[in-house]
Amino acid sequence: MKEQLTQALIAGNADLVNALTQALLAAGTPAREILDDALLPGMEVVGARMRSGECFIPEVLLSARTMQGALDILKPHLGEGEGAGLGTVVLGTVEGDLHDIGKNLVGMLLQGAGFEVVNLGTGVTTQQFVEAVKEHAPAIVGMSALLTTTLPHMAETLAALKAAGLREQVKVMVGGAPVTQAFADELGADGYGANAGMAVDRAKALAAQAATA
Amino acid sequence: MSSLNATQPQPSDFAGDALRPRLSMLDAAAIEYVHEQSLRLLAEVGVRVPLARAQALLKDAGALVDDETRIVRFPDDLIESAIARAPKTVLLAAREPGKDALLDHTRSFATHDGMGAMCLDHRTGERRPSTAQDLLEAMIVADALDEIGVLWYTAYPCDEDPRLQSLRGLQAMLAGSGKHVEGEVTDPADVPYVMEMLAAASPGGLWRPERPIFSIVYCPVSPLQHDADSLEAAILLAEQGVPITVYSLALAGATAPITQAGTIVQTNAEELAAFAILQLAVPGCPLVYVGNAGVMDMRTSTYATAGPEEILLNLALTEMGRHYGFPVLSCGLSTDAKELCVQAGSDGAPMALATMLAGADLLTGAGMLDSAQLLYLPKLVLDAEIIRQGHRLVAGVALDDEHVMADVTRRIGPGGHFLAERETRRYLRNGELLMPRAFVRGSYDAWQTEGRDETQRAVERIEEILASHHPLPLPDGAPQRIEEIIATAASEKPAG
Ligand code: B12
Repeated sequence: MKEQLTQALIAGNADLVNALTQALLAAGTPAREILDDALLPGMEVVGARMRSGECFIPEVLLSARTMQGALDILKPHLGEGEGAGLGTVVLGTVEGDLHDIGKNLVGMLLQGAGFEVVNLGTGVTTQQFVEAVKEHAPAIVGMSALLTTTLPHMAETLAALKAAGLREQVKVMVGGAPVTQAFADELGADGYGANAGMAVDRAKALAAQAATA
Repeated sequence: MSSLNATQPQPSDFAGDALRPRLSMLDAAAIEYVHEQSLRLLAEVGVRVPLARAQALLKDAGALVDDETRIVRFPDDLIESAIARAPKTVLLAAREPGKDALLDHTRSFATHDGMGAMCLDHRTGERRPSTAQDLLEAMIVADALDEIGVLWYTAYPCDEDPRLQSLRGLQAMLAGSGKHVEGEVTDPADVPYVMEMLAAASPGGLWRPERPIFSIVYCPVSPLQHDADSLEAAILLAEQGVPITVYSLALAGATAPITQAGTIVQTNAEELAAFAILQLAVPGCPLVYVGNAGVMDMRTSTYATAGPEEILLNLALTEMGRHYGFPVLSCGLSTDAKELCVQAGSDGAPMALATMLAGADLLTGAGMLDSAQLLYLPKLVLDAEIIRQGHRLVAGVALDDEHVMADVTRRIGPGGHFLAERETRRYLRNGELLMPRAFVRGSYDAWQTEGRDETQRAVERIEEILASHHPLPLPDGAPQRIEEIIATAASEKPAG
């Protein structure tokens, strides 16, 4: 049944995924096991297929959304703060910028990969990022900017996180069309993603670092 | 060749009784269907308008406003009255006499692509952030090219203080050209500085709303939303008589339905809603409808600017705009290619020609690569050639006794030739045959002997223009005045 669940997730069949998840729980399979052995491997396959060009964005997002439905069913059966286990990501588009297509895509794929995502929306001020980091204690905070005029807000947010004494406890990721690896390095960010796939890979690596640190 | 260039008149000279080819896809029933579907969307789903001032106006005019979600549902008559109220011709005035772009549905004025932040430097071959100098050069080159009628804010001056990039951009545009300039202002706090700069640059030092030398691109946010700051800035500028191009840019499959039909209806609805808001805020303000939508590439999740679907979207939306009688901006020449190559030409030209044949008043898209993100000046020169072809195509065929030239044929008789006839010379000089400027004809040997490829020739043309072309200077004292205004903005705007 677990293999069937994995396949249903890859196919983005929400009804079947929900039914199989319920059935496995009813049969006494631990929630953690359903997640680790069936759901997360399914998303791995989808991610790999996206990278190899076999699978297109809407298919990946459909699977990611289906995964979210299954997680909602599993949540009451998972330990406190256990979730899918990869931690929380706070995401937002910086102040003065309304572009959010890419940021939302990254958010959905992070969710699909097993992160808990708090999406702050667009036009997020430095102060709002700092407050959100205090409130949600995320593993990662991700900033998106699509305009050269709004890029400087990334540096301001980093400075504000430092000033608030929060910089050490959170990894910072940045992205958006004008952002480059060089810019991210200069900024002192921990991660960058030129696209959503790279963003997820980098976030996973950062989460793993944080877990072993 | 250059002497021919100098004397060849504009193709529009013989547009009078010509048969003009037109491209049309929607019949009356289809137009009515799209209109009805758009009205249903606006009445039932509505549009998020997060600006109190606009909400209040809409409420007064009978719209249903949800104060919590800030979603506005539009009754049909509100939309219909905006359609009736919006001006049907719009003047994009030029500083330089004779260079006005009057959008009255008789010709397509081409303009740059935009608004990117990268430049492929034609001198070094390096791809780097664009600068104020790049923008200035893009203006001067376009100022010299007859084919370009209106100038767009094609690339951001990334070397300038981010808080001042809009103003620095405007400064470069005003300095680099006597033609009409279209830019962006998304921060309401910039509006007073912009108006002062425009006054300084205007003939006589006075901004004249009846002859606006500047217009802006305003973007609603798909699906069915507005951004408070951008909308506020647009209203403030409309109050001053600045024409507004309403550029709703849905990406089919991402921020609009993946189907052409869905994207056509949603985009049309977004345009109409923006027209309604702006006509309520500033009755009679000059607006330009945008007949264009994008597509999301589903493999790479990037914005795709070209391809057959875009042409279909442009055609249908341009026809919708024309149906309402509005001036229409649409898009062509844009490419997703990263270099000058077959893809660049094939992405760009068919779309440009289709857009012109559909009757768009303004055609954006010249001079960029990489999905409107990478300015490349040689492409501007080459795109100008495609625009000339488009103008020639749209001018059509003059079909009358004189043009049939039967008397000449009678005179020459079977077996003669037409090359040495006065009529041949006259029509040649009148633009019956297009003389390519940038494109190659002639023998292979001649081409090989010349030893320069397409890009090299374009680069030479650019350098020639930059060395010899002088755009109409700003009024006396204006450059200093503009510099002072920007200095004031720098000291008054909060530090970034
Ligand atoms: C769609 C679009 C819009 C839409 C936005 C709709 C929306 N809800 O987001 C609309 C039409 C509203 C719009 C408005 C404007 N836009 Co715009 N827009 C675009 C466009 C065409 C595509 C952007 C996009 O969505 N791409 C698809 C997504 C999936 O890609 P992405 O955002 O890059 O995201 C990917 C990666 O960057 C990365 N990523 C993104 N965020 C993050 C975050 C993290 C943490 C990580 C790790 C990774 C990551 O992963 C994503 C997925 O693969 C770009 C041009 C372009 N080709 O990029 C211009 C562009 C960004 N816009 C531009 C401009 C100028 C504007 C306006 C100022 C225009 C105007 N006159 O008003 C306004 C902005 C006003 C404001 N205050 O913000 C310029 C920017 C120039 C500059 N100075 O930098 C561009 C480059 C225009 C161009 N040349 O084509 N725009």
